[in-house]
Amino acid sequence: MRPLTEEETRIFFEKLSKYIGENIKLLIDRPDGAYCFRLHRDRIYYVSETIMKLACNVARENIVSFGTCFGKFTKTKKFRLHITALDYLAPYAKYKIWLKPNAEQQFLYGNHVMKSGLGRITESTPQYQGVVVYSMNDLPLGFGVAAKSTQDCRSADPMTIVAFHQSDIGEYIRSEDTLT
Amino acid sequence: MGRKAKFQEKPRKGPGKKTKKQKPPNLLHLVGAKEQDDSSQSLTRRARKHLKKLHQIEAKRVTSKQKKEQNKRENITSEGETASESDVEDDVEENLKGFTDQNQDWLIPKGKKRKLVESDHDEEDFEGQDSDDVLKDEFDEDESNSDNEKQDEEEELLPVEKASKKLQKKQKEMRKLAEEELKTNIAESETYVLPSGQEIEKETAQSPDLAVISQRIKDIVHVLSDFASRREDGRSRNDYVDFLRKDLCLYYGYNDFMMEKLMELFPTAELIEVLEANEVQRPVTIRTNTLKTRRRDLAQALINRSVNLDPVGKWSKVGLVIYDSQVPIGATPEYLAGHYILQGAASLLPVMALAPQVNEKVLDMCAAPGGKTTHIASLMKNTGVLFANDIHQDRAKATVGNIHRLGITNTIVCCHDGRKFPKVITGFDRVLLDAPCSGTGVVAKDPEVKTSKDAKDIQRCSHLQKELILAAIDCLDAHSKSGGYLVYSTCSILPEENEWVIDFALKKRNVKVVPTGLDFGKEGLAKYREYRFHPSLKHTRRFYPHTQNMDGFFVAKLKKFSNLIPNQDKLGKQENENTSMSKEKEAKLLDKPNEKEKDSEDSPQVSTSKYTKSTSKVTPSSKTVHRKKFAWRTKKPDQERIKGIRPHLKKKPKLSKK
Amino acid sequence: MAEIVEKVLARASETAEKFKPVTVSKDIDVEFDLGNLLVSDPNPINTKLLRTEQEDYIKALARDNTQLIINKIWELPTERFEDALVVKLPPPTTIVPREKPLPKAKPPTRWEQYAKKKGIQKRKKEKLVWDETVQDWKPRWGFKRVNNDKNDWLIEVPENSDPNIDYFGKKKEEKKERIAKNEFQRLRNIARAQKTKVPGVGITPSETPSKQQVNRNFFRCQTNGYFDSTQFEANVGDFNKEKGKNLQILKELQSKKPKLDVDKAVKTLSHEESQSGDKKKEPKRRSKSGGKKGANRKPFVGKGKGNKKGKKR
Repeated sequence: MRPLTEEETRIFFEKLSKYIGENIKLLIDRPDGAYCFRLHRDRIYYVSETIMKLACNVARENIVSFGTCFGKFTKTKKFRLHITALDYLAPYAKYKIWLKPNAEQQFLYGNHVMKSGLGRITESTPQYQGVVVYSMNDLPLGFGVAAKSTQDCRSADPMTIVAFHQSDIGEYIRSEDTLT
Repeated sequence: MGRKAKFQEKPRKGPGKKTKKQKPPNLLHLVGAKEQDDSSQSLTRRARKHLKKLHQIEAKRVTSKQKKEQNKRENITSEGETASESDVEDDVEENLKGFTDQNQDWLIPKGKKRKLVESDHDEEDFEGQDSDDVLKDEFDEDESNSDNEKQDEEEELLPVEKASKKLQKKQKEMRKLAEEELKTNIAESETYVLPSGQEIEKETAQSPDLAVISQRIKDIVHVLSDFASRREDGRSRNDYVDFLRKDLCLYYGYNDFMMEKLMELFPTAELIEVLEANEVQRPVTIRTNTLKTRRRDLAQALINRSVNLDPVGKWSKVGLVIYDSQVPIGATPEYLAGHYILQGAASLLPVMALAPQVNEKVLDMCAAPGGKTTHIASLMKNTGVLFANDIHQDRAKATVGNIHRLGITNTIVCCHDGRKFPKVITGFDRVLLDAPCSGTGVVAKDPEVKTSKDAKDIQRCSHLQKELILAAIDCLDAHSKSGGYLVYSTCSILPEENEWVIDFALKKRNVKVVPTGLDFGKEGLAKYREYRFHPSLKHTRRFYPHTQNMDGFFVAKLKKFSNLIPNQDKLGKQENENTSMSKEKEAKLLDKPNEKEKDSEDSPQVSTSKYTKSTSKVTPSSKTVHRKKFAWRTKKPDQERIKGIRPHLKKKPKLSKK
Repeated sequence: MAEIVEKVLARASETAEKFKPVTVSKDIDVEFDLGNLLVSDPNPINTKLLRTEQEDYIKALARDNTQLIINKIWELPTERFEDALVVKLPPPTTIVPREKPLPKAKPPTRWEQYAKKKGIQKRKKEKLVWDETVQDWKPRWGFKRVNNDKNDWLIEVPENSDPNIDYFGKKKEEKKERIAKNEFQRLRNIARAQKTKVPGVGITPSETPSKQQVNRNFFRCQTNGYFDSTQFEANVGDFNKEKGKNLQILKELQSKKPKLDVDKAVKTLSHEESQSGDKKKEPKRRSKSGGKKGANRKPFVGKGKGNKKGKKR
């Protein structure tokens, strides 16, 4: 467990800001206590300071997880967000997509979002913007990348992909082992 | 908890929602009767005869006093046999009847017509039938006459259908007769007679007949319930019990050891209930994640997905029982979003007993797969700190998955041997120890337990549990303002793994048993067979499948009232004082290295003396001279030069700045 | 009869016209290198033909030589392998130049430089050495080598020296020093070869670093400490400082952001310009792209403001 280096922080924030923009500030500077990002086994954990201090008591090889895992660094030093970060992405997300009930299942199996399954989309979503995917009753299902801007979506035909799948809550079942 | 269970979609059966409501576990007489029915239905006629004969043999062995009665009975049975033989012929005849007496003269049923054409002499046989059979038929027909509607119905039916109906009726009657006969046997003899050694041998040679065994179980239970009056002379209670155990093992598929344990634990009448309950799966229950939703909302959402559910009971505000569901309950979007977790009803209990408060430091010692851990965290409302420990790294992954899914942020997941956890961190307000156990309470979930356990396994479990409970108590901080509580739970119902372990802990540490706060379930055993436990053990709780319709479970709550460890010398006390480190200890720790340094300073002299000794001892013999070649001959190493070779030693401070 | 002969002849002539003859005659025999499927034709080129009908001539020449090589291949013993005739080619005779440039010679080590300057020649040493004590030949180094110190069960204390010194330990120490020295020199040579600074080896975990430790430190020097564990911040340090640092990084990132959208801005701008330029020419198109224009503009304008409709917990 260690703090992130400047380089790592930059990579991480760059990725995170695709989804929540400047709301990262709210994660760093929380009124309800000090929170920090810590790297452990290539994974970034977001954890309150008190918990982090207690976790220091446990040896590195024995500690599995603490706080919330946001994602991991690949071997090539890229950052990949995990579905476990959804709890923090969803409330701060700038751009959102809502799915129709019949498209929910498709998305939860790891498929991209088609125009036909699109219920709603945030106004003025640019292309390739990170979006959080919701069901129609406001249940966050995962996140992805907008394949089309809002305007393009309107004119697209039903079978075109409007959002690329990146991560969904189905991964809790599908890839439990690789999650953390 | 229930993560590994498979909830495949089941085809919907039966009419409505509520009709499929889970009923209380079946009692013996219902199941027993059902078994009986099935078996006799499937038996061939010959087998039936054989069965009867068996009983005759049994009856024969009754004492000479009852011989007369017995003769009588034999007559009855032989009559019954002839009757049963003639019955079949009846059926053939009745096949052809499709109308009432009055019309018989001029109406010819289809089948009969054909039959007439086929064989004339057949009909002649019919005419020469036993008189009483004919009478009986007439009686039947009279009955049908009396009820016009019924007659109409019958007329609508095809002759074949009618025939089958009648056949069924006959069979039913026969079954009734056979059962009555059996009952009269018992009633007359009153004492059930155990089969002799020969019979047992005979039986073991054949494949076991479950119907016979089930009947025998019933009989023996009946005898045991009032042993004094129903016993057979010259047979001890042990004989009966042994026989019963053997039969139960065979019937329910337990090994001898397990059955013995169960028989020690339960009275005979209750035992059958327990065994039956172990055959029935417990209902699927889920726990609402109060961090993300409310139970009412969740229930609504699930009902919208056509899931049939109900609250688990008054005692829990978060549990829901799933009766049946069209969708896999472990893969709904609500599940994935962490609104609930699959968890047995029983595993809610230890956490409720633990009653963690906000801003506490809590430890779950054997956490995987995280059902109870997440429950604790949600009761703590994501505040404080929760350690979720488990010895298995791979199982910890499930814990991590569940924790993240349910949106819990205050948990640290680690993989330690629970027994060594006090060395890692102590000073917890509450500790939950859901100890690994033999699983005798969850036989329904894992039937392998029936046969795979023996005395050694139980002892091993018990030993591990004792080690764990001591470690768990050591982790606690007695001075905690709000806590200092340990909850010990197992999914075993054996006292060896429960009361015995608690009793052990009471002796070894400064803890006391406190009420669990659960107002149902049975009291723990303060005495059990030869064991005499601490009387306060009645505050613990036991839960059984046959009474609460949840997994067999044991919950005990302990409070630590002192950090001192009894029966240890002063020094040990100080060392084991697991609150903040005492000053003495710190000083001691600081002293230790100093001593070591002293040692190391002294050491060269000691060690070199070894060489001087050896050299001084050796006299300059031919061998040493010869060896001289290998001895110290090289130039004396120039220390400065060597230092020069290793610049890193010199440069050390400089580089670190760099 | 005659007719038939005529017919046959006619057909033969037809086929002959269609297919050129298999045999090819050359004034000078061509040279084959079947391993490379190469044929070199030493016959002089007919310059006249080459000039007049270049294409045809070269084609014919190529065809003839190809025919020759194929004839040659057919002479080789054939095999049948999975319904196909297969020939095993002989090893190539022509030497083909290497694909990659020759590797550069290793730069000489310090000793090699010195030896060259002094004219010291490498002398081959015998592998086996006569051992006086055992009266046998023994390997100079390695297993069961001659003069193995490890076999000493006793060391005679030299005269006029302190008997209280651990001579065995001393010997061990010296060996370690020799190894360390050698390792250091090796690393220095590598460093010089790569024109990096001579690694100072840095801080090693133990007084006498193992080869791995030295190598690791050397690696650390070369990677500018990217993987250097000593460079990380303390885990439990000044949290306010850490927070400040994070916010600083965030600020930098956000200030960078408009930069990323420059090309997009240019695109939209050029789009608008082209529209205003084409206004009169294609009125139809304008109306169509009118919607698009809005689509492109909106995110650009609204950047950074976020959506006020977005749900917040």
